[in-house]
Amino acid sequence: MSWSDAFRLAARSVVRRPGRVALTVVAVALAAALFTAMLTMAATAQGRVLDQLAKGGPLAGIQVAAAAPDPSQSGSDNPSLGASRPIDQTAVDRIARVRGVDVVLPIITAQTLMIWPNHVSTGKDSGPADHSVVFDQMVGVDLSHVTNVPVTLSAGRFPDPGSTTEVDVTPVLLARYGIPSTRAARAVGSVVELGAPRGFRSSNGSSVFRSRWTKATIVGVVTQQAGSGGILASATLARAGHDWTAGGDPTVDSDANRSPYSGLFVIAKGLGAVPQVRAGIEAVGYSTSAPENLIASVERYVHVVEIVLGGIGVIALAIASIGIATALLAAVRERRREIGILKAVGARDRDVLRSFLIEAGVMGAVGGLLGTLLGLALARAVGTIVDGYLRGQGLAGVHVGTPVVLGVATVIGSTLLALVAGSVPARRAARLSPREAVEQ
Amino acid sequence: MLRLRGPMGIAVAVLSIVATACGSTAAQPTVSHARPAAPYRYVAVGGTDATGGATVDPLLDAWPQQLFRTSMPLSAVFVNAAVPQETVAGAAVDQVPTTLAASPTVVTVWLVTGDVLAGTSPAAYGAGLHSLLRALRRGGRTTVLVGNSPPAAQLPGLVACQSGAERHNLRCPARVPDATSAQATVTAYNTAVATAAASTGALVVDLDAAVSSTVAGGGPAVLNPTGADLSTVGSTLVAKAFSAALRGATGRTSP
Repeated sequence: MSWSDAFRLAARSVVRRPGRVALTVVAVALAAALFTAMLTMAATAQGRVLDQLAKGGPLAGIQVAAAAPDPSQSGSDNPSLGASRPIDQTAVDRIARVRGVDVVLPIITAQTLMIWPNHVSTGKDSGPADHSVVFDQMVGVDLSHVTNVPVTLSAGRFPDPGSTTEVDVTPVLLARYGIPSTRAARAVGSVVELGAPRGFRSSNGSSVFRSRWTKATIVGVVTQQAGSGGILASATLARAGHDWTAGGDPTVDSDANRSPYSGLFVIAKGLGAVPQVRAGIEAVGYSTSAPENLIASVERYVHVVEIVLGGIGVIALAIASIGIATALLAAVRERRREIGILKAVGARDRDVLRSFLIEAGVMGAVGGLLGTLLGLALARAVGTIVDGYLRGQGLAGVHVGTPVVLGVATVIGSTLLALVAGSVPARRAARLSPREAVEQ
Repeated sequence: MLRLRGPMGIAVAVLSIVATACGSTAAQPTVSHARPAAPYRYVAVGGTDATGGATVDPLLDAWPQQLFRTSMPLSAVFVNAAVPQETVAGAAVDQVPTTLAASPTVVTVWLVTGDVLAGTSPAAYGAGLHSLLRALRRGGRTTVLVGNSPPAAQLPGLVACQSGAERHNLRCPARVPDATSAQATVTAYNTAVATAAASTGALVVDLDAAVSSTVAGGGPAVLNPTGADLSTVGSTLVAKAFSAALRGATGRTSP
């Protein structure tokens, strides 16, 4: 008997008992959907949690402060800082040469006065109404590498990497204007004035602060941990403000940040290289922080959750496989006479075995495929609801990916389980003698 | 409406599920690539009024800030070099170096009160202003707008000193000129402004006419109640006068 004959026999069996086959396929599909949806949602949750821990940056990200390290706290995630120590280009170059460093991104902060001339606080907004001018910090990073820094966009977009007329703001800054995080997106499109102050002593000896002002459009709302400040801008814009302030009279403005860089964001070549890179940077003379221990702990917990959820899905698939076995046993019982005739006209044991295994495999594959698609759709639907809720709260949303490997593995796994489940009735059918089968 | 049944219907349903599963619903961050505009630099040289003086919110309401807000392009950079109670001689030391370092496109100059209260003679004022404007013009590369003095009765600081009451940290002269001699001084100053502007290529912003017409028209008070500084309304009036002059000089009709 050829493979095509075996397929034809299996198809005929399916057509004769469509209700039973459909129910069996639905059972497999539901189990596969459960398995796929749970693991997809677990993976999404893991990504969201780790992203939160890494503040939107890469997991192997390390923050370097413009301060000396405290040797007693080496290795802790967030050590206290030692004495202030400027970061200049020489230090950046030395850190870039530390073994295990992949990328070094300088962070520039600039003291900034922000005027929002057209801001009108509505009665619905919480907080004070008349805060046209606030004093904050502008954080400048190389925005062409924005995905590598701990910044999460919640509305709008990032400024152009070289722009001097676009900024993002944080919900914390907006709160100072009486805008709650749930209405943060309304700030996008507003034009603000940004002033960098400079201390100056006039010819008559009086202290004066004169500012360098620029205008910028708020193009997005972000939560960011790249530096301490409520305004995210291109490195070009922050550098201009920083240099203006740093060039002032130190006797008038002793608090002005004169370190060329206020910090660095260093990315190690993988999570495993983080301890080595941190040690190297501390040897250069700067304090570092990274959530490496926390991330490792959370990853362990999330893997346990994944194993439990995956286990539940596998149990569901196993139960569905028992359904396949039961359906095939019933088919064997009903088709004994047909099996006997097949064997009487020359069909071999393995031909009968093959026909029943094909039937089981097809049911497993079709059920697995439908279930995988259904599971992904379910995960998407849940992800959309959660994303809408989080964004409505002014938080970063979630993105449910398309786990191709998981989908393919689920279909293959469903098929294999069905084949295993179908092997018992198939073998029983194959072992039937023609005489015994025809007599009954 | 198309109704599908049987295998075709099942196929369409499966494709719908695939499309739902594979479609992306989360917004992805995007980065625009707008070309930065050409630099436009504006520096304000002035005294107390240019720093916002006694307006409701000096940073928000200072007239150079209003001029920057309403009449400069989005890409403009503005430095407010003003020093309270500055004279022309003081500005040459305190403000000109910063201004020249900025290589400005536009400079506004309004320095009257400090010199009137310091008792600077119109001749010395004119000579100092001429040197100042010539330096700021940078050989014609910078558009310089210079404001003249409003009528003595509306000149910030002078009014407060004449009142003899609370002097609001002003450097009032020991002998404050009376209204008649003060107006004569203002007139002489305005002649000096016109002469210095004409000889250096700077443009005069006629605040004398602008304030006079507002006061004559019964408009709101240009000075704050103490007379020491411009009110917010006065700041806006001065900003509008400079804005009109800037439009006339550059042909620019909007920021």
